[in-house]
Amino acid sequence: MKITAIIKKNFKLVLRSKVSALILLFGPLLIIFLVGLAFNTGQSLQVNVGYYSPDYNDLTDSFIDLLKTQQYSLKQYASEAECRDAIAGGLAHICVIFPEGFRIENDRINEVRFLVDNSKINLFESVVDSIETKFNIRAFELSAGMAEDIVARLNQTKSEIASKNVLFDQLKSENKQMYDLVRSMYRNMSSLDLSFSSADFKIAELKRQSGDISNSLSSIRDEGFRAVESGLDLTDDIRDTIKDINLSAADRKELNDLLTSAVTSFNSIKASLEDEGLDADEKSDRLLDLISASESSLNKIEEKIRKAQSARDRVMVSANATQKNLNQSLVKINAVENSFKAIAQNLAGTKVTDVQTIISPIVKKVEPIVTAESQLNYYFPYLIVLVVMFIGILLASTLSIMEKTSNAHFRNLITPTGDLIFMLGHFFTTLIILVVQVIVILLIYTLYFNQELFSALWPTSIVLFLIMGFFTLLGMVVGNIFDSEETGTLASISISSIFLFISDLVYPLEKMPVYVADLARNYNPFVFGTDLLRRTMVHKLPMYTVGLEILALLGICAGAFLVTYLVMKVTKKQYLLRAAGYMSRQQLGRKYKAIEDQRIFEASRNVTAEKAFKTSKGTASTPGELSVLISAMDDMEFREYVNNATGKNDFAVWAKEVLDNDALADRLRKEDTRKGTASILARAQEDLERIGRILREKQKREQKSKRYKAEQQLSEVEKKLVEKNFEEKKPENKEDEAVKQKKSKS
Amino acid sequence: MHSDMASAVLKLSNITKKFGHKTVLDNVNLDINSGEIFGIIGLSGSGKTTLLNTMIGSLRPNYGDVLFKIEHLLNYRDDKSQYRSVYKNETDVKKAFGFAAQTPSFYNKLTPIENLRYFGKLYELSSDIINTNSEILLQLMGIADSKNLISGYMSGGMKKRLDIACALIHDPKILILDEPTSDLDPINRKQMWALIRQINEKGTTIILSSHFLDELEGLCDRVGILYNGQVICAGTPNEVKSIYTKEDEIRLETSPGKYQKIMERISKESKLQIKKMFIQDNRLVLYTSKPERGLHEVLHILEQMGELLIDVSVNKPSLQEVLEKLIQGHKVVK
Repeated sequence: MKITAIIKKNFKLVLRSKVSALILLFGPLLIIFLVGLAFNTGQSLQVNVGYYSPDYNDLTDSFIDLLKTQQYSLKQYASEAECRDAIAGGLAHICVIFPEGFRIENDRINEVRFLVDNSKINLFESVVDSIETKFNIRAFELSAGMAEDIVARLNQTKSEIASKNVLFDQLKSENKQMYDLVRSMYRNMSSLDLSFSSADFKIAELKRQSGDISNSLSSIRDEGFRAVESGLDLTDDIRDTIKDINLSAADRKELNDLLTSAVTSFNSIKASLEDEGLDADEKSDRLLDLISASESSLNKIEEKIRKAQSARDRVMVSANATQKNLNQSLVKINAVENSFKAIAQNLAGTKVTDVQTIISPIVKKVEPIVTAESQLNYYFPYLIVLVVMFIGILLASTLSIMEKTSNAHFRNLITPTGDLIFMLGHFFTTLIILVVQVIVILLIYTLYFNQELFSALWPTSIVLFLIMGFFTLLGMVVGNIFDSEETGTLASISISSIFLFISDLVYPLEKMPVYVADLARNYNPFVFGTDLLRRTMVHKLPMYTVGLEILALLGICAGAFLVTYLVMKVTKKQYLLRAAGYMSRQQLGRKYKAIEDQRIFEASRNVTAEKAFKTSKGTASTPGELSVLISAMDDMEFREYVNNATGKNDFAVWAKEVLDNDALADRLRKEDTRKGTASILARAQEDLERIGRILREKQKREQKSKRYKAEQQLSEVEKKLVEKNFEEKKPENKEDEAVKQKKSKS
Repeated sequence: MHSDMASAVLKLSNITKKFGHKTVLDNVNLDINSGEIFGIIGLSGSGKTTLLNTMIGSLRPNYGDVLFKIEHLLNYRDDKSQYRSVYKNETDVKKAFGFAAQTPSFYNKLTPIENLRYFGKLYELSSDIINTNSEILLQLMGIADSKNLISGYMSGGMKKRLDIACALIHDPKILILDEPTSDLDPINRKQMWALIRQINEKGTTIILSSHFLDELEGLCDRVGILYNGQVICAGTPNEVKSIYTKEDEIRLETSPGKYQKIMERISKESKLQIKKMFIQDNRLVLYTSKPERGLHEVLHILEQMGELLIDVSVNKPSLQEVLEKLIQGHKVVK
């Protein structure tokens, strides 16, 4: 079968080159080993961290202590500039610059700066994330502490408010009481009758009556005395009577006692009356004094009452004012109470009081939808598509160009073998190589790196096969378009690099402009392929979920196949033209220009004396000489040779007829100034000299090769002579002489 | 081999081929007879390669057609007198024609036997036929001993022969050779012409182009001279020469080969009017209308000068001479 023959032939060609064979055999092994070793790890980012602070304190140290883990290699720098230089020099990945006087205070912003090299696109975000995470932990701890403090104070405030609510009632009730008291006091004050007049006391009357009383008392005393005297007289009478009466002794005694007692009493009364009389007189005097004193006191009291009145008035006014103040105070107490209530309500309305919840209301948990022990799992789809892409495009393009530039290509084209057969032959050659390489890679991936693949084998295989097919076809298109291996390789690498860079392997698509990202997602086969492979290999989605995409990829491959075939057809036509000796118009132009230049050069060297241009200043055999002559002549003489009005231009005629240079003649015909003409001729001379140099170099090259050919011919003739003479058994002397002569001639 | 004059196996009819504004072939009419060796002569850029490529159908002319008739390719329904266009029967043409381009066309990294087997497969030959043909061709070409040598390591002559072998693997009826002896030394060239004769003797019609006009003279049954895209002359070498000259050409090769001195002696001593003498390809070339006498005189002079005669031939003027004259006669004046 022809395709088989072509494939076998291609393999032989590829493997005959030891380097190619080595690369083909060991390339995939090397790739997967290196890549596997690099990516087969779950290790987190190893970061070199530099740090600097103008002053160090516990807070700075607490942050630095956080970083003292295996993941980070810490180094303190003496200045920010030094740390920055370390990053630029690759010694550090990140610099942490603490601010001066780093402490937690009110009205103080502590800006910790991270200096990173963001030219390391892949790395810097991970590094920043890593360090930020650590710093966030510490910041979280500090925030938690402060939040806890605030919450405690809030709680305290709440309970304080709650506990003091009672006081408001007390205050209000006391206020009310005070208000009532003051009001009562006001009322009392207002009801207080402080009207007073000493005349009301009728002191004079009192005095008069006191005198009367005293007189009365005296008269009473006197009466009393008289009574007593009468009494005594009576008693005496009684006694006397008794004596006369027949009584019992007891009754007499009793009567006598009684009479004695009565006498005593009368005596006592008398004494009392005397005392009392004196006393009464004293008392009456004192009473008068008292009344007088009372009068003066009353006067004082009147005075005082008047003062009290005015004081009462003032008190009333004050009481009024106090009432008002008390009202206002009540209002304020109410307001404060309401505020406290509002504060309490607000505080009560705080739903979240848990510190952890305040500091971190949302707890983020990243749950990968696939779990893997190493990063190789995640990167493997990218890696394998990358390998397939580069190798597929490069290999296919190289094979195509090798075939195209091979001498055998022409013979292939004149055999009764269709272009499609050749195309399929090359396609399957590349595909087989790719398949073998991919199988090797996958085997190592599963067996050596212990990654599971078999559960998604079929969809993965189909996707991989289609991806390989597409890139092979793309490589074939490149190989058919370009004619040399260098340009083909450059084009292959460029195309592959474009696919690689406009993908999310190097830089996330989501960070690119929207139109670029859309273009990449929809038209970049690398993105399309890795996405599909990721779904089958990593997520292990069943076939039916990716069926549409696989069909789309199949369609793309079919389109690529068609394009490849068409390109092959077009380039085949061009190849046949070139093989037939056809040159492009440009090449033809160059060829004829070279012939034309040579003709002009030879014509310029064959200018005889008769054909030289003669002027009054001399003769010229070359354009350069004529230029000099023209420069030397005056305008009048020039006009003898050139007159555009009449169409005369002897220089142009000479250029055409003698120098055989039509182009020069045309230029001269268009020029009618002396300087311009001289300049054109000078340039023509320079061109001739340049052509002369080129021709001399070409001649040297040809002579060199001719000499070589002549020497080859000579050696063959020599050989033939020697053989012939040997056969004819000519005398050796003559032969030697002939050979020697030939040698000396050469 | 005598050509079958009545049976043209290939007819070029009013072939005109233009590349852009340049007309490379201008109304070329040519018949190639079955079994002959036809040589195409022309200067570089005269259109030889284009003409040869047109014959095998690689290039389609702007006007005209190339017709062929190869009986073994016809089936019972075809009219045996009917010529068919190469452009409408590409597959048959490719099977019937063999082509060896100026640059050997095979894979340098394969051995000769691998090359032959590969191209044999492309001609849909069975493995047996391929093996048989390969052995025969390798023997014929004299490269059987190198059949397992990587082709790239072979000498120029061997490569040319391998190229021809590849062109013959499918036993074509018509073999086209584009400058088969360019880049070969004289000995290899001779071997190549001998080989071409051998191939022709087996019945293959051969069309070739060459710069080595003197060699074409001895080899070709007929020649055609191509100038400025036109075939200005076609016929046997003698017929062509006779059109332009009546003199004979004597070619001598001597040792030590002091041709200048020989020419001086001849000029002085020869009684004949030797109109023209020059040195070409390490030979002394003389033109005379009396070749026998001229040869006698020259040999005598050679003997006197102690020159050892290595080779001598007497012919009509060389094709080169004829070509120069023809071209001068046809040169376009600006």
